[in-house]
Amino acid sequence: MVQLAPSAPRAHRNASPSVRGRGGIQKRKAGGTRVDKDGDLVMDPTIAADKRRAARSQLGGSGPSRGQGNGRATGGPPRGADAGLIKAQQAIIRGLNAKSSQANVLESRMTAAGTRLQIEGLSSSKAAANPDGGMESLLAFLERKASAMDTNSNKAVKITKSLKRGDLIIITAGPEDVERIKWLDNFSFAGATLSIKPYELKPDKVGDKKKEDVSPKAQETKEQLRSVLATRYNADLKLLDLSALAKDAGLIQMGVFDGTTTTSKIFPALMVVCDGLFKTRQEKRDAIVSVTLADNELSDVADVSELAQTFPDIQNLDLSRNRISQLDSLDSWGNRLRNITTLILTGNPIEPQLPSLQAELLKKYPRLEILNGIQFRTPEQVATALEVAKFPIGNAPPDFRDVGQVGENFIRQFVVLYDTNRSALLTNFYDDQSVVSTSINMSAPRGATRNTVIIPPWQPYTKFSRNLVKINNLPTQLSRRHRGSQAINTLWTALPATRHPDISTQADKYLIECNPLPGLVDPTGQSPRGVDGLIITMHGEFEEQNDKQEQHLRSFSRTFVLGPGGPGGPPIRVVSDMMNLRAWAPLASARNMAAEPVTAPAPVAATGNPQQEAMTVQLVERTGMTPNYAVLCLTETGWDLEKAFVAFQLNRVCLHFSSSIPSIINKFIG
Amino acid sequence: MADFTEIAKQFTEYYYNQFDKDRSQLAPLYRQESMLTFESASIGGAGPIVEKLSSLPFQSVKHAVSTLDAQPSNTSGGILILVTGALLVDEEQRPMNYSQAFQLLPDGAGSYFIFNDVFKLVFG
Repeated sequence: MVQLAPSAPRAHRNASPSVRGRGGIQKRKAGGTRVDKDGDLVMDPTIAADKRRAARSQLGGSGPSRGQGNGRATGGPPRGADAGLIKAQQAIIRGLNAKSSQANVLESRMTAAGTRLQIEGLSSSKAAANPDGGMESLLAFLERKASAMDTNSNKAVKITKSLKRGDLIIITAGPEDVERIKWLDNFSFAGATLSIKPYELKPDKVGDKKKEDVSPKAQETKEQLRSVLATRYNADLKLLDLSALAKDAGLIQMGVFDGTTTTSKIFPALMVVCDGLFKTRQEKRDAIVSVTLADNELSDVADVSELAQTFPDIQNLDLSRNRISQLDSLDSWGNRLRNITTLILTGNPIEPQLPSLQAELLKKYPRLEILNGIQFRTPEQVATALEVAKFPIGNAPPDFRDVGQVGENFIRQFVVLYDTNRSALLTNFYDDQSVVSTSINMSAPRGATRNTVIIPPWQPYTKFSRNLVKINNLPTQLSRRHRGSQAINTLWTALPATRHPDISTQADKYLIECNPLPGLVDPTGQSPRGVDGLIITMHGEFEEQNDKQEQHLRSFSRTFVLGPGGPGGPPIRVVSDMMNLRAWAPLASARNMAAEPVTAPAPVAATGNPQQEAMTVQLVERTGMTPNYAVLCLTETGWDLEKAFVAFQLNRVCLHFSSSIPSIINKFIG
Repeated sequence: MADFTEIAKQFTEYYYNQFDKDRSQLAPLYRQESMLTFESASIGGAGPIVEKLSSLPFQSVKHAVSTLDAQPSNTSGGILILVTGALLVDEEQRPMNYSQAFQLLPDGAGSYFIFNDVFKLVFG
C-alpha cells in the first residue's frame, strides 16, 4: 500500500488501537476528520463528493443520481426493491457482525510478511528458458510439492499471487500453505536449488515502492487513484462502484483519458491500488462483496480482467449497460469469479439471449442465484446443485446381483466368522488354491467434513502390505501373497482381531456389490472354457482390537472372487480375497443407499402376469428374499410356489452349513 | 506365466494416464465380451463401454492411485487387479475415494484386454 508521507495528516490517529486511518479506504465515520488531499480518505460520500466533485453522488447513497439518471434502478445488486437488494442487505448484516475483521481491513498497510515468501533460484534453473521464464512451472512445482509435504491434510496448497522482482519470485499464500511451502527451502527445481524465505519487508515491496524509486508524479497518481476509489467505495453496502469510469471527474482531472486511453489503462492501475489496500484475501472478501462495472462501454471484459484476480470472491456483479453481446465476452475472467450469486447484465446486447444461456452461465458462476434481478434459484437449490457437482459421477446405490444368494450368504458368514472364528471361515470358504493379500492406503482422503477419528498405528499391517505402488521387490511381492488355507491362516493369526458392525442391523455401515464373473478356472478341470463365479466388492469399517484393549476404527475395501470349489473342498470357495485398509472415514453414500445392502435394488420384478406377480409377492413374504430372486426361483421351478419355496430352503440350508448340494452348485456354476 | 505384477502395474499406469488424457481412446483395451460395472450400471462390449466412459459429466479428471494389488485370476494368465485411489474432477478440490477391480485376460496375441471392470466411488 502507499506509504504515507510522514507529514501527511492522519485521520483518527488516536481514535482506536485498531490503527484505523493508517491509510487506504476508511470506513465512514460520523463526524470523522476530513480528508486531506494527500492524506487518508474518509468514505463519507458527502464529504468525498464535496471534496472531489459536487455533482457526483455515492452509488447507493441518497444524493442526486448521476449521469445515467434512474437507469440504474433496473439492476445493481444494492439497488431497488429486488432480490438483489435483499441479498446485498443480507451480506451487509453479515458484515456488520464482523466488525473486527472490518477494522482489520482498514489497517491497510501491508505488513503481511507472514503470508508472503520470496524465492530465489528460478533464474538459474533450466525452466528459466520457458516462454514465461519458468514461472508457471515453478508455481506448479511448489504447489505440488508443498501439498505432498503434509500427508495429514487433504487440502492442496494454493499460491494465490505471484510476482517476479528481478531474480526474486514473491508469492502469496494462506498462512498454513506458506508454512508448508517453507519446507521446500533448498529443494532442487529444474537443476537449481531454491532458497525460500519469508518475504522481507523492504521498503521496495509490492505497492510500496521506495520513495526514491517512485517519481513524485507516480506517487501522486497513486494517491489520486486512491482518492477516486475512496469516493467509489460504500462501506455499508460493501460495494465498490467502478461504473462509468470514463466519466469520472477525478480520473478526467488526472488526465488519464487523454487521447485514446480508456478503461483499459486505468483499470489495472485501480486494481493494483485496491490490492494494496488489503493484507489478505479474507480482508478483501469482508470489505468488498459487490462490484459494479456498469456504463463502461465494455464489449468484453478483457480491459477489466484484473477484477477476477483482485476480487475473486465478490458475490454481486453489475455489468449493466455495457456492450456485452455474447457469453464469450466474459472469458477473460475465466472461471475465477465462482462466488457470484447475483449478476446483472441488463442493458447489454446479450440480454435477450440470457434465458437460453443459463446453463452456460452456471458453469462459470456455479453459485448464481439472481440474474438481472430475477431470482431463479434458491440458496438451497444452489447448495444442492453444488453438492451434486462435487460428485459428478453420481453415486448409485450398491448393485448386488447375486446368483442363488451365494454372495449374500458368503458375506453374512464372512463378517461374523472373520471376527469370531477365522479358522472356521477358512474351512468353510477357502482351499489350498485361495489367494489372500492385504494392502494399506495411508493417504486416502478422509471425507468432506472434518474427521477427527484417530488413525491407529499401521504397524500391525505394514509387514503384510502388498501395495504394488510401493513394494517393488519381487520376493517381497511374492511373500505377501498368501496362497492356500495354511498360509492364509498364518496371516490371519498375525492380523489384529476385528469386530465388524452387524450386517443386519447396521447395513448403512456397508456398501456391498456383487456381480457375476465368468471365466474362472474350473477346479474339476471339466470345463475348459472356465466356470462362472461372482465378484464381490465390500466397503465398510471395523473396530480393531489391539494389545492395549483399545478399540480403533478402520475403513476397508475388500474384493472377493467366489467360485465353485474343487472335489473334497468347500462347495463355494474364495478364489481371491484382497483387502485394502485405510484411515476411518464415513461411507458418505448412506444418503442414497438402499436400506438393505444385501438385496437387489430393483423393485418388484414385473412379469406382466398378475398371477405370477401375486406368487412373487407371496414368495417374497414367506422367504424374505428379493423380488428379483423370487422371480428367478419361480421361473426355475415352473411357477410352482411350493417348489420354489423348497428350493429356497434348500439353497439357504446348503449355503448356511456349507454342505454340498449338487443342484445348487450346478446352478451356481451355470 | 509373465510377471503378472509387472503387467498389472503397467496396465494401471497406462489405463489411468489414458483415462485422464482422453478417455474416449480407451476402446482398444476392451473387447466385445468385456463388461464394465460403473456405479452399478452394467455395460457390455468395447463400444458401449467407451461411450459410457466418454459421456461421464466432467471435462478433466485426475486419478491418483494409492494402492494396487494384483493376483493371478486363473491358470491361463488372467490377472485380478484391485486399485484404490483418489479422483479429482474438474475444479473440485476435494478428492473422491474410489475402488476399481479389473480382471485382465490375455488376448492370445501377446497382450491383455479388460474382461471385467468394476468401478465404485467409496466416499470418505
